[in-house]
Amino acid sequence: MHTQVNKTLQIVAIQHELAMGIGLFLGIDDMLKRFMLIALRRLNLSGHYIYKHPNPLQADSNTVITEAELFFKIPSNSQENKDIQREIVKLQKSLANDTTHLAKAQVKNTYILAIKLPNIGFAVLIKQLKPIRNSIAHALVPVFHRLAMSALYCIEKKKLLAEVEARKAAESALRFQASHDALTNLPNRKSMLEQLQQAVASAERHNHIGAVLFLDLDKFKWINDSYGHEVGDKFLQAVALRLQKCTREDDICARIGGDEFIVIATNIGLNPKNAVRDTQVIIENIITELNQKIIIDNIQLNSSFSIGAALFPLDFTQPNDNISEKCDSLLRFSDAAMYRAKARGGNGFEFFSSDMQKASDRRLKIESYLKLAITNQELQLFFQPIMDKNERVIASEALLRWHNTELGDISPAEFIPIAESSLSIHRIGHWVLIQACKIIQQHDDLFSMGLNHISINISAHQIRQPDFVDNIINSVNEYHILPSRLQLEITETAAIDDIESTIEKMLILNKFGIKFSLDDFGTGYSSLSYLHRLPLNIIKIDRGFITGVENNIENQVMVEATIAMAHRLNIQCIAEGVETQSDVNYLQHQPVYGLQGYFYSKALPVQEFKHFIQNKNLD
Amino acid sequence: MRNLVKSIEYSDRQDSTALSEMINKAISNDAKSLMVLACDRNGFTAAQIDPILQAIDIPIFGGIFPTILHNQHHYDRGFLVCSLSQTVQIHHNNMAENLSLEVSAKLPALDATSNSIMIILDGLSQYIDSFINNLYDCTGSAINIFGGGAGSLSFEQKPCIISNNGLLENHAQIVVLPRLMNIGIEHGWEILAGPFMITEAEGNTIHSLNYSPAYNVYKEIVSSHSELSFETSDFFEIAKTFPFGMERLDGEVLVRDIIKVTQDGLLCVGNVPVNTMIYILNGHPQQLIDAAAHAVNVKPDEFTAQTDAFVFDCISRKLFLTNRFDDELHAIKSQLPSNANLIGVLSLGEIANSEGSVIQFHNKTTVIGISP
Repeated sequence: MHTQVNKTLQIVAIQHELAMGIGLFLGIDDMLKRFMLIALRRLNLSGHYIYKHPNPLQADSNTVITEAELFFKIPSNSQENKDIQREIVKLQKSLANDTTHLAKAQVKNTYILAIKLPNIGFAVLIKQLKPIRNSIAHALVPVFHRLAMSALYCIEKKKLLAEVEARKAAESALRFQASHDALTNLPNRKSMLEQLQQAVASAERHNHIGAVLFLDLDKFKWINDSYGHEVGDKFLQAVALRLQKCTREDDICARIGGDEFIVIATNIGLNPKNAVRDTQVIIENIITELNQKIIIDNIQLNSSFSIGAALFPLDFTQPNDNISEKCDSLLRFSDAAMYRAKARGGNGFEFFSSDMQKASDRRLKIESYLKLAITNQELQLFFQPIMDKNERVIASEALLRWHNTELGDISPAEFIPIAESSLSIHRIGHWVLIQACKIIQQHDDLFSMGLNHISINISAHQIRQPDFVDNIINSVNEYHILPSRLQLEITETAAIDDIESTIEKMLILNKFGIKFSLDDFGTGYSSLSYLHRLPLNIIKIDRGFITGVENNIENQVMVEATIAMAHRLNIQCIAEGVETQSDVNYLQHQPVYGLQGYFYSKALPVQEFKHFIQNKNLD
Repeated sequence: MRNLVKSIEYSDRQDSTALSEMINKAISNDAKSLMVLACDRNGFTAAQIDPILQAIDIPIFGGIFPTILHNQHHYDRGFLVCSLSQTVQIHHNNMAENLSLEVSAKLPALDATSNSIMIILDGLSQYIDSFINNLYDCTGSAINIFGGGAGSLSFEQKPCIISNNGLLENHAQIVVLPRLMNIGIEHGWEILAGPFMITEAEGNTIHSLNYSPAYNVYKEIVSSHSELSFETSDFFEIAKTFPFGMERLDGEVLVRDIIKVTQDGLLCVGNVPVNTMIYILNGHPQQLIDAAAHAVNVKPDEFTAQTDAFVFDCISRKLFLTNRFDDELHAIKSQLPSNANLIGVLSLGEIANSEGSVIQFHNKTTVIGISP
């Protein structure tokens, strides 16, 4: 009886010790190892192995056994002999049915007990000299079943945690993408604005001074055009790295688009008197760093920044503005200062001043009023005649004029760049096209007076639009005009920006009957190798070479060379900027197709232009 | 095969100069390795003996123990220098760390039929359990392992492992002996009461048994069996007679010495895991002595003329047996051939693996490794 009680007690004690040894660790390795060590010692084992299916959650109750692989063993360095390994394989097979939870084998003095771990695999207990008694062996089955449940829980929990982590990582990546520029990994405009607001708020709270630097890469377009976008992108990445390297740790560098960057110097001190000087140090560091050459794909590239600086809170003009408004102002001010630096030749910096604010305010107004200029019928096409050498009008260039009720007459030189940067250019360009088509349709008699065509200017933005060709053809068809009466003028720069696509579009329009002239020839940065590929009708020699040409030998060389080259390519030449008799005298001896300039006439409204043609051509 | 032990010399001097002289003498007598066992009472410090140890160019191992043994004699002062006839491999491991890569690679490769491992470790380290687990994970049960804990009976941890690098603390010394040693493990303690479940424990301290404060449970049982009073006697005087025992599957009982009562419970030598079933043990001197003799795990006809016996006997057995401890030594020696070399220590805990099973950390046990 006493012996029986003791045996029962022993069974219960072993079950309890082992069951309580199944820990709550999330890691399956730690949990199994801890249990195996307790079992090893408590049961006087010489070895303890766990076999686990590689994907327990995807296996059925028998496959989880038959495909189980050695997962863990103590001692880890043991090399069981082949007989024992063979027996383990047999035991594995015998466990692979729903009713068998326990299997035994013996090899000489080594006793092997295999116990099923449901839905996981199985465990192998190795004992020397004496086997584990049957009663103990059977008592172990429920304990190992519990172990299996815990292990499954660990696996499921690990999977869930992995999914949560993966989701967090994906969300984090999305958040990063939403707030960072994909090319340079710098904060994007949105993130920059948030950080700027924080910086401005902090400066106001703690009475220190900060600075916003607006950086625009000089001649980046040339790098893109000359070496391609891939090199351009790598260059931008290199510039971003340089910028981060040469700015202070607490300063924020952001890329807000294209070749524009913002640096926010969050704290440059408390003393307003030193603010400009201290900001200048930061700027000079940037300039020095970026002036060093950057090598991309074995190409040595140099560039520089035009930098505009605005200080906060010193430059705020509206102290009652909210933070968001103040930040908008800072960006405008630093942008205006940057433009001033750019206008002065680039590779330099300017601090914002109040006169820049006026320029900035005007710019904003122009941008704002431009949006309504078409609706308010403030735009008008004027026509500048193009004369032959006999002073007959042979063509005309349509030029856009804008009169705003508040701002008065605004020069195209001022509002066209603003239109281009604010993308109003698309609507305006389309309006010009339609207007020109209308006028060609409505004033058909001009063409019977000797006018060959009216040309309109096409911007680089317009020509890049996917519907550019369709737009032109549809407009011509809508107004039932002869395609040859409308000519399109593009600049060198616009032409070679994605030259292949441009040529393709020009050829389609050529085939339709519309011809092209190349405007402002001689002012672009492009090489001449493209010239023979463009399907051009006319080259317009820039006014810079024409005005005062009779007394300028270098310009004469350029003009004559241009004309000779054009003629060899069956292209006609028009001289722009003819302003004096001496210009005319010189050009009379050149084989130019046409002459255009104030000598003959400024741009005229259509009725006045009509009278001009009548006077010139019908005498 | 010649004896592994070439010679054993004892000196009752307690100074480092004497140690240096005896070591040099052993080396000049062509010792290939040295085992040095010193008494804690000598007061050897690292500053004193490191220069001596570091100047030795043959392998040296050993430790500082409360008592050292030679044949039938036990000494609590002086030192023993044992010359070995062969060069032995010695590895040192910081017990707080995993086994080094070198150890992990070399130990499993040993031929278990002709090698054994002797362990001398810092008996007061808190990492004994984890070290033993790591060691077993590396070696398995194939190779015989035995040894014990060095240190001071003051329970103040200090450098106590003797090595070529000097005196080490919190280290384990793994000595590969080029012999197949028979290992005997016996203690003689018997179950008095229990089982009790350890319901709260941390490390070496038992907080509660059967959900009651451990001290109270212990006291209740032992009071009725001990002549000494818990109120008036030193706790250790009582506890040395009534240790704990953890039952193993095949009926073996692993003894756990109780050192003292703390604020939280009962502090033992060695780990006492929670949820373990333990018994309160009791011992009679003659049973212990007989058990120690049985630890000579070699049949008389297996002995050869070159018998070497390394004894790791628990210091608390001497404290229990008091003046009958000589009988225990005599009992052990009487089981050995008369010309056998017997060298050993009274240790703070013993280490051994039973045949075909894990390495255990024993208390109040006699462990003998014999090269018959």
